[in-house]
Amino acid sequence: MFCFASDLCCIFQKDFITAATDTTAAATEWALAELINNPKVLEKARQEIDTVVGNKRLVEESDSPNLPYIQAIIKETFRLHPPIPMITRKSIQESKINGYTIPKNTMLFVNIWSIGRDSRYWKNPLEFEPERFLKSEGDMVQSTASMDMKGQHYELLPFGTGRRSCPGIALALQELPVSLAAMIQCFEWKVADPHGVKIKGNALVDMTERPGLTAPRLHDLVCAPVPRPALDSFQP
Amino acid sequence: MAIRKHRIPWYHRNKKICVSLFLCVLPFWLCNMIFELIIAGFAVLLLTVFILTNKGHGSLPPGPVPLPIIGHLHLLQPLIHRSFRDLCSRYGPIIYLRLGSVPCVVASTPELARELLKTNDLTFSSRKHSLAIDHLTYSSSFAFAPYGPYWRFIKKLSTFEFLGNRALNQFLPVRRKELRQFIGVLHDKSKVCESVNVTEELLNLSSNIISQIILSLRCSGTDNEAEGVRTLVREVTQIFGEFNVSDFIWFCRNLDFRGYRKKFEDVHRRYDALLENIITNREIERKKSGGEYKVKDLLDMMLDALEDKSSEVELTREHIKALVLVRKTLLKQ
Repeated sequence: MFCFASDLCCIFQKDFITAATDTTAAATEWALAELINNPKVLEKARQEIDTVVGNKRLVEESDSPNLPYIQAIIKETFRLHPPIPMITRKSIQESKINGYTIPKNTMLFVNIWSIGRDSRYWKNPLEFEPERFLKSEGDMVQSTASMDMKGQHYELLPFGTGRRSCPGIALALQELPVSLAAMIQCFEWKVADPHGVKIKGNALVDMTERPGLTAPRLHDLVCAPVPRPALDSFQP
Repeated sequence: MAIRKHRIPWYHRNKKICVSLFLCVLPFWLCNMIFELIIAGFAVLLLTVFILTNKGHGSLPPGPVPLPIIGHLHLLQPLIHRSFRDLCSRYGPIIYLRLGSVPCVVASTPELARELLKTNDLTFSSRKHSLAIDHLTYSSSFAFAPYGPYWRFIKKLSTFEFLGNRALNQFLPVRRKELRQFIGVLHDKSKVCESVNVTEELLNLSSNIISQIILSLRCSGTDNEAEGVRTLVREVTQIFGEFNVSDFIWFCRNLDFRGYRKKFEDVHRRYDALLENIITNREIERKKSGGEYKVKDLLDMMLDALEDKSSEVELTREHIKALVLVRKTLLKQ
C-alpha cells in the first residue's frame, strides 16, 4: 500500500498549483518550442513583426492588436498545450447532467487538453497551424477563426469559464504576445544540448510533458539565441 | 529369502498408525478448507457490495468497475489527462471514477463543458482542497475558498482593482522594464555564444512581474528580502504541489505522511514571519507618507480594504497573508 501511495505522490507532484505559478512562463516556452519545430510559422511571425514594428525599436504591448499572427500563435499554443490541462471543480449540490445524476461533493475534471486535440472539433488536430485562427481561410472549419479565449468558446478554455475562471487572464494576454514577439524580433533560435553549450544543426525540440495535474514541458528548454540585426539598433 | 519375507510395506505393517494419523490430520485439513472458503466468499461478497453500491446511485455516468479502497487509481498513468482521454474514448464523453475515496466525474466535450461550467456554474463552483492548502493559506485562501461572500469580495477586488484595466495600465512600465531586462540577459549570453536556459529566464521574467505587482519587490534582486521571498515562494509552491495522498484515501488521513505535515508547518511559520515583516514595514511606510504614496500594489489595496471599516467583508491580516501567497502561486495563469 505504501509503495503504491508513494507512486501516487509522484503522479500528483507538481500538481495544479505549482505549475500555476509558472503558467505564463510555461505557455511562452511551449510557444517558442513549437516555433523552433515549425520554421515556416516562425518565419511568418518574424515577417509580421518586421513589417509592423520594424527594427528601430523593441516591440511594445500596444503593438499586440496589430500582430494577428502572433495572437493566433498564442491561441494555437493554448489549444495544444494548455498549461492547466483540466479544469477542476467540486459540486456543492446534486445535479442532473445528460440524464446522469452527479452527487454532491463530486470532483469534476473537464479535460480541455483532450478537447484541444479532438479531430471532431479541429482539422489536423496535432499540427501546429496558427492559420486556423485567422479569418482569411474560407473552408469548413471557419468557425475557429473567430474564437477567443475568454470562456465563450467551449472548444478553447485555457483560462476556464464562468465564476471560477482565471482572474489573471487580462494580465496573461498582455504579457504573453509581447514577450514572445520580443524573443522573435531580437533573436534567431537554435536548440542547444540540454547539458552544455554544444549546438546541434537544426535539432528539434523534445515536446514531452511533465507528469502531474499540469502540463509544463518535461525538460527545460535550452537554446542558443543568435542576435538579429534589430537588436543592435536599440539597446535593451 | 528369509530377509525378503520380512520386507512388508510400512503401511501394511503400521496400518493402525496410518489410519489414526489420517484421522488426526483430517479435521485440520477440513478446517483449512473451510477457512479458505470463508475468505473467498468474503472477497466475492465485498466485490458485489462495491459493484452494487456503484450501481445503487441509479444513473451515475458510466465507467470501469472500481477496486475496493483505491477505486480507479490503478488506471491512472502519470500523465493524468492522457489516462482520462483514453478512459473517455472507451466509456463515453462523461465518465464516473473514484480516485481513492474521492468521487470524480470526467467530461471531455465542449458541449459538456458548456453544460457543466455554464448552465450548472453554481453547482460546480467549489474547488477541492488538501490539508496543506488549508494550513498554508490560513484556511482563508481565495482560490480554494468555497463560493461565498468572502470569495465574491476578493473576486471583485481582483477583477476590477488588482487585475483590472487601471491596474494593468499602472504596471505597464514595470512590465516594459522587465521585458527589456529579460532581452538584455539573453543578449549578453548570445554575444558570448553561450546557451540559455529559456525556461529559467522566462520564470524569472514572470515572477519578477508578479512580485512587483503584489509587493513591489523584485524576485531576482540581490537584497535579502527578495532572496527570502524567492526561496520561500519556491518552497511553498513545492509543498502545494506534493498532493497529499491522505487527502485521497480516507484511512491515511491521520497518518503523518512522509513528514509532510511537519514540513509544511515549518514553511508556514517562516512564511508567516516574512509576510508579517513586510506588512508591518509597509504600514509604517504608509503612516509616514500620510496616504501620499507611489503606485499602489496589491498589498496597498488590501491594507486599504483592511482599514476601511465600511467594507462589506471584514478582512483580517490572515486574509491578506493568504491572498498574497495564493496570488503569487496560483494566479499567474
